Amino acid sequence: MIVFIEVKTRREQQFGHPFESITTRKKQQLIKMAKQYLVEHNLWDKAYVRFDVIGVSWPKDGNPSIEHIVDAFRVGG
Amino acid sequence: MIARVNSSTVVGIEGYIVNVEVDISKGLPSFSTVGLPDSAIKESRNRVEMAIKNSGLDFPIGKITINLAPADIRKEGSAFDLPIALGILKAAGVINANLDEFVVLGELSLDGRVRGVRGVLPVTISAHSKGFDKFIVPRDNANEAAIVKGVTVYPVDSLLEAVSFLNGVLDIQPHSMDIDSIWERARVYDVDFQDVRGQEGAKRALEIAAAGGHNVLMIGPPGAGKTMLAKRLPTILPPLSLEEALETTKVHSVAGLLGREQALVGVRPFRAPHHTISDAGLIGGGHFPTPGEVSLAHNGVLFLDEFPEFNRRVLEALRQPMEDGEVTISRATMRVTFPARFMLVAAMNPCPCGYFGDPRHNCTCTPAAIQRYVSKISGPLLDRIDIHIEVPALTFDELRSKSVGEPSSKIRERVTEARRRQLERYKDVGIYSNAQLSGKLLERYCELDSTAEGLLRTAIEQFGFSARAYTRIIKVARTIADLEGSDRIRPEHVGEAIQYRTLDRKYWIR
Repeated sequence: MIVFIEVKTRREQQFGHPFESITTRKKQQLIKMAKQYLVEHNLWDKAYVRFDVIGVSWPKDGNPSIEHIVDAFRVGG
Repeated sequence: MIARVNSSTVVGIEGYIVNVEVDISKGLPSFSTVGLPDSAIKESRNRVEMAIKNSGLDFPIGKITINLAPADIRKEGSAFDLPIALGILKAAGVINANLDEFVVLGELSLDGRVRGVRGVLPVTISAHSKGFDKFIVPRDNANEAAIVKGVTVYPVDSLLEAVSFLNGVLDIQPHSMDIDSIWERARVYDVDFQDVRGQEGAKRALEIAAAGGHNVLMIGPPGAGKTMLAKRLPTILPPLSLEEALETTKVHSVAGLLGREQALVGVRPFRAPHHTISDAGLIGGGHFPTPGEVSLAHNGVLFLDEFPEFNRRVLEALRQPMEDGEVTISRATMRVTFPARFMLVAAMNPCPCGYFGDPRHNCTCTPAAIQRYVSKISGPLLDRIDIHIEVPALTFDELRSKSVGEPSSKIRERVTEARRRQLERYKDVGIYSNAQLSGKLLERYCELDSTAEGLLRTAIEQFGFSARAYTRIIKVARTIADLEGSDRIRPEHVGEAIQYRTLDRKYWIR
């Protein structure tokens, strides 16, 4: 299985949670990127594919916390 | 890997087997359905995914394709949730059992519980006739499915329960119903003709109507008891046969009107839609056609109170089902036929204010207003109503009287006997009641002797009856004779039948 993982780090909370940056547009970009990768590596329909998202909140004065969403989104809805 | 699960859908009141095929292959993760599903099935993707996850199971990764075959049947509703979920789990290897011998129905809620669906009875009947005898259904629908003889019904409350059962981890007791005891219990009416005080004339007319299958129009002031009488008409009709009951239950099942506890509609239905009903509501309709009131009244009584207040278009739409005993609804994508064999009982006030002809109130309507009111009912429609009766307001003495009339069971015996005579007489001509007599058959079966003929002639000349009234009188006279067990139509039968043409005489001033 090939897992594409988007890792987003945010240093400041006032712009929201890291996951909030994974918009529909971002998902489309990731899917496009995955398609490109699969075709280039001759893996199209030859491997199970999963999209994960990892969010890192890292306040300037503290330690980072990490959250991981397995199978965060799929193609089409 | 491809997994297959049998399910079923309803078109009209017939069930069709639908094969749910699930394929999970490598590739970009997606979830798509094909096979002409309607929007409810597209929505089911989300329910299925959440139900699987919230049941504590893994939703498999991969390119998931659902096919609902055959593709040319329009599919409706949410009953595919459970088969789709089971198919996915089977394709993912969570379920190892063979699902081929089951037919699966059920809607899923987000937490994995299984909800009831519509149309389980027709689905079970048709699937059983195609050789399926094991059914996994929502617990809410278990009663309905289990009345079909020779099927094993496994009721489930949740997706997890269905999975454990199929994997052999959980034992589910098949749901069984004692059809005979259900049938006995379902056949009891909660009203009786004994409850009605006075109105002997109207009761007699309803008995004749029931005996001959004649449609009835009741005319009377507000509060005279028209609704009460009509409501008791089903109790004097011949008892439903099991086949009739199943057919009526099918319609109610498709309309989603069967309660969880109710397995069978064992009594003749009484439907009384409000006069603001639309034609689609009365006849049936919708994008996916659902049965209307005429079909819900199948084998029973359709009561239209405040008859002239109904939209004219709606009333005219009644004519075709009254004639054919069924309605066909055509849509661009499909045609559907629902049964609609009902007795029509209409009720109206004699005039807009309600008191025309009432000795104790003054009618405030002008003759033109009365004329306008009555003429809202078209001639062709009136043509199909054989009996018109007046239901006068009750006097104080009648209201206070303690005398109880005949119980429904007594009247029903006479009605059933009269119906039996008709079935016997018409067994070779393809009709079953006097109300259906027309043209040639009328001449053949309703010969009048010379005295009766003379009486009818006098009546027609005196009251100015139309040709329409003439055939109605003869038909009703035939029924009255049948009630008496007489093969010949005698003058007194004609005499009584003439009384049931109120509108021609008194109000129908053309």
